Amino acid sequence: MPDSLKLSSIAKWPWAVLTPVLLFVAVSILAPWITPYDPAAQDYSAVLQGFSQEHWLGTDYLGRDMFSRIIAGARVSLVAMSIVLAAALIIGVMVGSFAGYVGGRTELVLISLIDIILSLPSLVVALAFIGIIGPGYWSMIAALTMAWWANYARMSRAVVTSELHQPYIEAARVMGAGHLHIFCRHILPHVLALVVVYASADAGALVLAIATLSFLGLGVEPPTPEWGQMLVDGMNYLEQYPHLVILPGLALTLVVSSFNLLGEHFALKKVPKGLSKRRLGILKKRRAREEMNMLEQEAKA
Amino acid sequence: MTANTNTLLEVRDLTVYFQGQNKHQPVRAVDGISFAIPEGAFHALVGESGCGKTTLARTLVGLQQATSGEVLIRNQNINSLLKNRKLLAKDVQFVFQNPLGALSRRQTVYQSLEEPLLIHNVGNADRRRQRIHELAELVGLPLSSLDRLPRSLSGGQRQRVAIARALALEPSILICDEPLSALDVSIQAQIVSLFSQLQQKLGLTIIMITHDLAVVREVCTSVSVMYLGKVMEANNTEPLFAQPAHPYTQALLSSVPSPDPNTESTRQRIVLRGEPPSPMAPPSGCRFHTRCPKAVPECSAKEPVLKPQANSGLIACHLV
Repeated sequence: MPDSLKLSSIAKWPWAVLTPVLLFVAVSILAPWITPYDPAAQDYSAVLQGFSQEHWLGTDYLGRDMFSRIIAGARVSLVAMSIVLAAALIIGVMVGSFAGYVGGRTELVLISLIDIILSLPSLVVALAFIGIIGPGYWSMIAALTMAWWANYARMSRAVVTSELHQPYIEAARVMGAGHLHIFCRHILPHVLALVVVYASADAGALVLAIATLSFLGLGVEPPTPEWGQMLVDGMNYLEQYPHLVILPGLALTLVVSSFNLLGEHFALKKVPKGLSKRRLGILKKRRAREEMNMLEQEAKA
Repeated sequence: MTANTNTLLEVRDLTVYFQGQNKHQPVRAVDGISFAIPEGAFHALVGESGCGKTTLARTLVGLQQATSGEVLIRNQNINSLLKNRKLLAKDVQFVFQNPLGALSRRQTVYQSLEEPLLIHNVGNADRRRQRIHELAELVGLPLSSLDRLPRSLSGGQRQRVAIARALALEPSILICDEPLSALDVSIQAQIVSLFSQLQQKLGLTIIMITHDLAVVREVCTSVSVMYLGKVMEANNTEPLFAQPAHPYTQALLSSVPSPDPNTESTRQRIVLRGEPPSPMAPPSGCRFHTRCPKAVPECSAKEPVLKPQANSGLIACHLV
């Protein structure tokens, strides 16, 4: 493998990794303003067109602008992914930390439950859940959350149990700290540092899972532009108009792989350390300023 | 040890057992210890590894539940004091063995020192900063180190931070679990002199666990010698070092080399045979009889009680 392709060399190019992800987020947020056409507007006078001035990336079988739909699709993916990720993080961190902190039989029960969920492929769990509550946007979100939280719970529990027996936790206890103080101030930062790094890599997998469920017709419903949905729509015209499939597929590939690289980058660079270093710098400056003020006041007095 | 009128901390018949692999044979880490520490004392707990010193110290601050017996602080049972840990924390503080582990690796020195003040809602930010600067000065920490993380401090500075943090709430009792063992010899001397300075300046009562008998001789006012979960001998420092009465104390003291070549050449090292017995099944009678160079048949039959002897010491031995 040439040197430039090794994963460790990615660490030297943070912007190369960050740019596609930031671009994806920016495009998603700005989607309503930058789409040239209404992504749901049908135009029967211009169906199945190729690339042109009016429609940069052509149109689909209902005459909807592909460029607008891909941009709008990014927004749908980002919103759904963010909701699922946030919910899975919150539930996972809460359940996992609680299990680790409390220990004993409660921990055993919770961790068994987590293990059961983890032993099944996450899409199978999501499919089973959708089978119970029926398809739809919100049931897709709920199903994916159900399938995703266990990972975070497991990680949080591992961090909590390893930190809980450190002497500095006992030191805090001797100082009279309550459980909430110990958890929020000493344990949670460690949990978040790990879980957030993992989540950044997981985001790609989640975008893919959302597209998969929509592709199967179990997620985002038809009029809403969604990449998985667009793949299904384009499949019938694969031979004559391959761009209908290739374009959303390409978008999906780009987003997923850039998120994966971002996660890899975080894991390699250990971002929390860098961030804390920066925070130290800020703290130092602030303290210097405070001391200057104190000195000035003393001089005045 | 004289029966001082002003007893600050008292331990009555304390036992701490741990459940081992065998349910019927718990590990008897602390097995019936009684002592009283007067206010203003600098008391040392000495003894070889595994004799229960650390467990005893942890029980004194409520990190370890006693199996039976009582810990009394100002004549109040620690169990009732533990219902409100914040109050206990203002009175009794603990210095851990390894300062690197006892300080959060994510907190700067400033944050570590601020934490006890935050927990106890002491003053506003200005008042806290003032107090932290006082503390740093008290333990001899440069102000420039306040914004650093524990890992970028030297061993001695870390221990100074840990001590400053323990002193933040102005406790009257400081319990130190081998505060010197993680430090270099040259740094040990600094920290020891810091302890005795602090004790005089703040009127602290200090209980220090240590292996280092030279340190004990230098700074401590009284000593308890522990062996396998029991106190073998307790006395004021001077008489104990001058005339160790218990065979175990004698053996322990004979292991300390003397800087004076004349004394050193006549020093007779008493080498104890074998390993200390398992605390799961302590020997019958006197616990020390299996290794005692002076043991008589009575020693294995009857357990000696810790009773006052001449020189105002307490000794648990049939031969004295």
